[in-house]
Amino acid sequence: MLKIRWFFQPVLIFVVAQVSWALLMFVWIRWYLIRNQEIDALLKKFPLKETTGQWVVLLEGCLLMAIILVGLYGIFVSLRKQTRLNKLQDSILSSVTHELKTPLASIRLYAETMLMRSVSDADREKFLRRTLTEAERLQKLIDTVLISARMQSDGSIKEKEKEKIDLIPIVLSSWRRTTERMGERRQFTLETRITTDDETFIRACNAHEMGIVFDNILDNAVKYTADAQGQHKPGQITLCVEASPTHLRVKVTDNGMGIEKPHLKKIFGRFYRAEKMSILKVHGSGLGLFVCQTIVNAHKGRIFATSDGPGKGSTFYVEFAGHAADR
Amino acid sequence: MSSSQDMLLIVEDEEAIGDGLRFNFEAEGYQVHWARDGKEALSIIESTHTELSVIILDLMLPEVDGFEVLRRTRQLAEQIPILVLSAKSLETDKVRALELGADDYVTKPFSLMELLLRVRGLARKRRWYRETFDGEAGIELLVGKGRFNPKTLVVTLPDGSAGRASPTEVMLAQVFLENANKVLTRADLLDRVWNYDAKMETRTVDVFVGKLRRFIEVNPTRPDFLISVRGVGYAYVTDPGLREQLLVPR
Repeated sequence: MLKIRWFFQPVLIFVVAQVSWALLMFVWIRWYLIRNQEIDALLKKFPLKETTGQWVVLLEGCLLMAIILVGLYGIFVSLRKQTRLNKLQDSILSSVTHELKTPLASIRLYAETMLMRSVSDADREKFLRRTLTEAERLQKLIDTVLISARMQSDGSIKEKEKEKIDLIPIVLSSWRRTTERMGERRQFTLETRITTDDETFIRACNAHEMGIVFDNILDNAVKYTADAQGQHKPGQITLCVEASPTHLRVKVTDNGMGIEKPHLKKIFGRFYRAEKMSILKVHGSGLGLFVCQTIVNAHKGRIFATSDGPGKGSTFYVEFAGHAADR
Repeated sequence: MSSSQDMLLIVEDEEAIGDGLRFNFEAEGYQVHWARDGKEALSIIESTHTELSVIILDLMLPEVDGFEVLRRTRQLAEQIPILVLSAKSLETDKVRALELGADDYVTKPFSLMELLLRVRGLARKRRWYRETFDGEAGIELLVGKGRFNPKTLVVTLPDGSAGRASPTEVMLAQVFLENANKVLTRADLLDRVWNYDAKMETRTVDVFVGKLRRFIEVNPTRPDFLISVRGVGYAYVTDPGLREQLLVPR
């Protein structure tokens, strides 16, 4: 069974087809060249009207064969690409499913615990807060998947979903959520340099989606830095918000595992993490940065990362230019 | 409630799940250790493996992943029952974990009640095994063409070479031996070897029967002793008449 399947591998079919064509061409041309004189002699004996026509036919044959060869090659390449894409999509699906199950498991665990046991008021509150946090995590993940799917089908955030809003509180509330959750396990520093008149930076945007961008970037900083548990020193994460009338720059710096130079752009690709997942052993859907980039692009902003290399931390930037029309 | 000596190791990097499990198992009377990554888990296992009753192990872990923890734990201590608790639900992951030496596999999200029962079953099995086989160095079990030493866990294979079995495998061999020439359902086996309720998933049994066949059959793909009874379960057959009867449909 396995042998038959192996036999019909696209690579094998492709190679056999190519070799067959090439061999046929070779045999034909060789035959013609060898028998050339005999054919000429025969033609002299029985003259046809247009002897030059033979060359034209041969040339035509060669050209058509070449076109077929190129066509076959093209089909082969696109098939390979499609197969690879399908494989990556499967791996995204399995990592998203994995990510959905984990918070669901926590929610179920705490609900069952509270039904099964008599818990103290303090424990009850702790358990309910955890349940809520996990529900929020689930919601955020579902949003990420939905946005990613929508981006694929229609490409952009609808203009009518944007409204004029101050971006600075959105950044700061993402910051507050992260520090509340991870405050004891990482070292957090906040720097703000806001030089606008009313300390706001107003732009037409979708507040919910901008929240997802900053949540994701801060989440990543947490994920890829050391945990304060055990012998590790806690990872350091700095958020710097700079706002001027013409510019907003949000910068998240960490001292975590860093990024290799050739990967700095690739990390925003839809499938990047899926390919790296088994090596990094860090949880994630693999869609976070892709969705961030899509949202920021749809808001005419810029998102990029810098890093001095593996082990040397990384910095993520989100930048928006201020538009007079938005203010 | 569990016996006060039962010591449990939870290996889980998710804060919420790890803490929730710890709360529940402490309420059940277990002494609980909680490791947040594979490295920490291995160092706890190294220092406490003689006392540990059960390990609950996640697979996606920072530092050293769960499969590796499983592999190294089996080199260090074959006797500790390990229950894998993971969101990975692919058949290949399950089989890989069971092949590497896990005793059971539960997927997330899980039922707390079911998990408590399974861990209780595994802990009981561990205690029973200790009490039954400690001190009895000489008695070997002859099953099929394989010979098991329950105390040292050494198996002499049909070709004369030596292998290592886990306590679960030895117990499964013993249950088959005690019930020779009888058909045992998967539920029977889960009940007798794993101490589980019959309702639970049965793939585990199939993987373990496969492992056992490698110990006792000359040709594990065409078994002479551990024979599958389609739609029912398995039978350990020493009676040639019964063997012929069961092998007819093959």
